[in-house]
Amino acid sequence: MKPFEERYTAWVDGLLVGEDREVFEREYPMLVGEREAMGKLQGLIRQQFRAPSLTHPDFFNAELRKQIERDQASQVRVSGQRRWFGLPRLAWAGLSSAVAFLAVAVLMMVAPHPQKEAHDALAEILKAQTNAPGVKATVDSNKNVTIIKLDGLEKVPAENELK
Amino acid sequence: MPGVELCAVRLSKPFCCQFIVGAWFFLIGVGVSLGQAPPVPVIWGCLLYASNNPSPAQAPDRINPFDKTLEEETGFKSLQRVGQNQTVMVAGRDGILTFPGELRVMITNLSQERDGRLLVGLQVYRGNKELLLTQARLREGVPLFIRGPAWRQGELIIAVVIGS
Repeated sequence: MKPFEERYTAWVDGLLVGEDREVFEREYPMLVGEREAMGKLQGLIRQQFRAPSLTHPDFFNAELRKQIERDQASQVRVSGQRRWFGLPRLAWAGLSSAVAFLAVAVLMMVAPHPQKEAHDALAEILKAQTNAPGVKATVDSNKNVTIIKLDGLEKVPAENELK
Repeated sequence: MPGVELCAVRLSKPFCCQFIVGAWFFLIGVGVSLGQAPPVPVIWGCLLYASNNPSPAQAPDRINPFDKTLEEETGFKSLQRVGQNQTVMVAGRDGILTFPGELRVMITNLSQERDGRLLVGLQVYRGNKELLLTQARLREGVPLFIRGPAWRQGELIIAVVIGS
């Protein structure tokens, strides 16, 4: 048994003939009037909306074909661009960058650290001042050491045990 | 296939895209490596008694590479450690190194510069009296010496070193 939709479509299009048609119309008598109304509607549509007659149909067809070709070409370009960013290429890019990152990390670990250079780099004194009366602060960074000297300080009593 | 002309070598667009993506990952990786947080700095200090006494040298190991220069600069041939101290710097808090003789060094405003040096403020006190206010750029392991008051036949020297 064919489904209703298939039989209905064939009946509307006039393709349901003979016994099948009679059975269908017997089963659905209310649809008979509906088909007549639809036939009238189709006739009106065909009458009112006729396709305009083209004066140069070949030119129209040629333009239409060009437009279709342009659309197809742009679709091909887009799909080609998508392939460049495909999963395999991204995977290769990720792998190569990971290798490069590891190489740089190893190089940075192996290379001498700037903070652990030889002790030839002096401490740099930006400011050295004292508010203690009679005391003077001077900076000496002649050799590989930097010394701030405080002149004029009171002596620590010799009997003091510094422990 | 369309491509990019570079030094007479024609590179395909897929290769260029792959290279650009790889370069981005590379730059991000380098940025992460360089942007690693610095370790929490430890500041070590010691109080030295510099004199010309014929006593055996007792300077700490980390001062040894500098003791000859220090001798030349100060004129004292013997360096003895009187005391030592260290402090772990915590962000937003000052550090204090205390030494015998009511001497203490307050470490303030520690920050790391791009070249790895540390910008630090140092205040030297004797009791409640401020003797010195200084700001210095220090490298890890490189000491800053502060020649302090005279004591007995020599003088007291404070050494401040960044690093445990």
